[in-house]
Parts: sequence; C-alpha cells; structure tokens
Amino acid sequence: MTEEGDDDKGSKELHALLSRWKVEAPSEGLSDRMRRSYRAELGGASRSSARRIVLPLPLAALIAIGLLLLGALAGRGLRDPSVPGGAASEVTDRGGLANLRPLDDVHVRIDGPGGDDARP
Amino acid sequence: MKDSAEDPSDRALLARAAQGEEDAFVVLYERHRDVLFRFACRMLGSIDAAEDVVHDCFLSLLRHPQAFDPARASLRTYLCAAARNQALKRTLQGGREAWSDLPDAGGPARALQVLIEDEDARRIRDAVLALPPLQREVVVLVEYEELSLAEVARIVDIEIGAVKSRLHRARVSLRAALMPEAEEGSR
Repeated sequence: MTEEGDDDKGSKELHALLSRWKVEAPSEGLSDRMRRSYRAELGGASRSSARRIVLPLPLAALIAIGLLLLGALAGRGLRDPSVPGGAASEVTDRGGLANLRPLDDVHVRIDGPGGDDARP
Repeated sequence: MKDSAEDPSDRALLARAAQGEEDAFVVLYERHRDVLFRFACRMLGSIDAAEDVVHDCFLSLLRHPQAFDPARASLRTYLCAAARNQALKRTLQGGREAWSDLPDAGGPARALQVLIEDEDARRIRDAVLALPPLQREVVVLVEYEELSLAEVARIVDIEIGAVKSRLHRARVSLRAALMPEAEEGSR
C-alpha cells in the first residue's frame, strides 16, 4: 500500500473515531430565549411600518422648507418689539428683576354681610 | 452537512424577519441553529456557552442584517464565521465550563457497552478540546460538520493551503492522543 493510501486510511479511521463524540441538539429554552429576543428587537417593526406615512420626495422637501421658514419667522417675532407678541419679551429683557420695587402700603378690604371691614 | 439551498431562500427569510415576521425568523433560526450549536459546543466544551454564542449570532444578524452579503458567502458560512469569532473571543477570555451532556460513568447500573462508549466519547472530547483553538476549529468544521476546505477557508478567513496545514497538524496530534499504536506504526 502507498504512503498516500496509508494516510487516507488513517484519516478515515480517525474520522470514525472522532464521530463517537456526539453533541445533542440545543435546548428548547434556547428557542424560547431567541423568540423573546426577536420580539424585543423587532416585535414592533411591522406595526411601526404600518403607521409610517409615505410622501413623495418633492412634497416632503417643501414641507421641511415650510417648517424651517415658520421656525425662523417665529424666532424673529420674539426679538422684534414692533411685532405684537414680541413686546412681552422686550419688557422682560429690558426690565428684568432689577426694576422690581417693594410696595409702600397694602390695604386689604373684605366686603361681607357685616359691612366694611377695612384694615390698614 | 446539508447545504442551505432551500426554499424559501435565506435571503428572503431574512428580509421578512427584518420586517417583523416572526415565523420567517423561526424558520431561519431552526435551519441554522444546530450547526452553530454543535460547532460552538465543540469549540468551547460548554453547552451553556454554546447556547449563548448561538443566541448572540442570531441577535447580531437581526440588528445588522445588512452585514450579511449574499454575494460574498452563504448565510451558513456567514453565521459560522460569526460563531467562530465569538467562540475564539470566549476561549481567549477564559477556560471552558463544565461539560454536562455526558452522563456520569459512576451513576446507576448501566450496561458495560454504554460505559465504554461514554469513556471513548470523553477521551475524544478531551483530545479535541486540548488542541490549540486555531487547529480545533478546522477539525470541528472538517471532521464533524464535513464542510469543504474552501468553505472552511472562508469561515476562518485564511488560504486553503493554511487550512490543510492546520488540519494536518491537528490530525497528527489527535492520532498521537487517541491512536498511539497506529501513530507508532506509521513512523
């Protein structure tokens, strides 16, 4: 018998010997664990894709530009005192807490059935 | 080992699974689970660690399905390569855990033949696990999973010549450990 033939025979014998070490199938617990992981990862994928709104690209771009313009206008309005609605922020900016003064006197007047009950 | 050219294709199942079709995912998982598990088991010597590897491989596939390129390799090759990387990482991190699939030989009354078979299986398992990881993976993929040398080369990312060389060295070590008489005779 040739050396190659001996080697081939040896390989077959070794292969037959190695095959005596068998490994069982994985447990059912692994399948359950895998399903749970799948649901955690992708369970909501089909629901979320069903809710997705599909728009043509030009329309989506127009909407995006419109939203940006609206945002920019709103930002300008807050800073411009000539714009109604911008006035409040102007007063706040100028005055701040520095303009706060304590009140001189406080009079509390309670009107009830017993007549006037004014106190200093 | 069977090739995975089945219907529906892995690619179609993966696309459906990525859309949230659990049934498609289960078919895909059951198609490739066993080969990954056996490979990881024989690489790590631990059932628990092997199950973790299988779980993590499929989870990674779900998270990054675009990483699998059907033009480059089959899904089985891709998953085996992923399992191989994880198994090597775990091997480098620490030793193997206790093996629990072989019953204790000293248990209740058992037939002599069964005891001998268990003892053989233990010897073989210990010899395979004693191989360096880079030789072990080649032995497991060729001898147990019966993959072609070309597919093994793709999985372990080396040339076919290097696969042959590792396989030869591994077989010499295994023969010396398991068939010492035959090894003596061949010298």
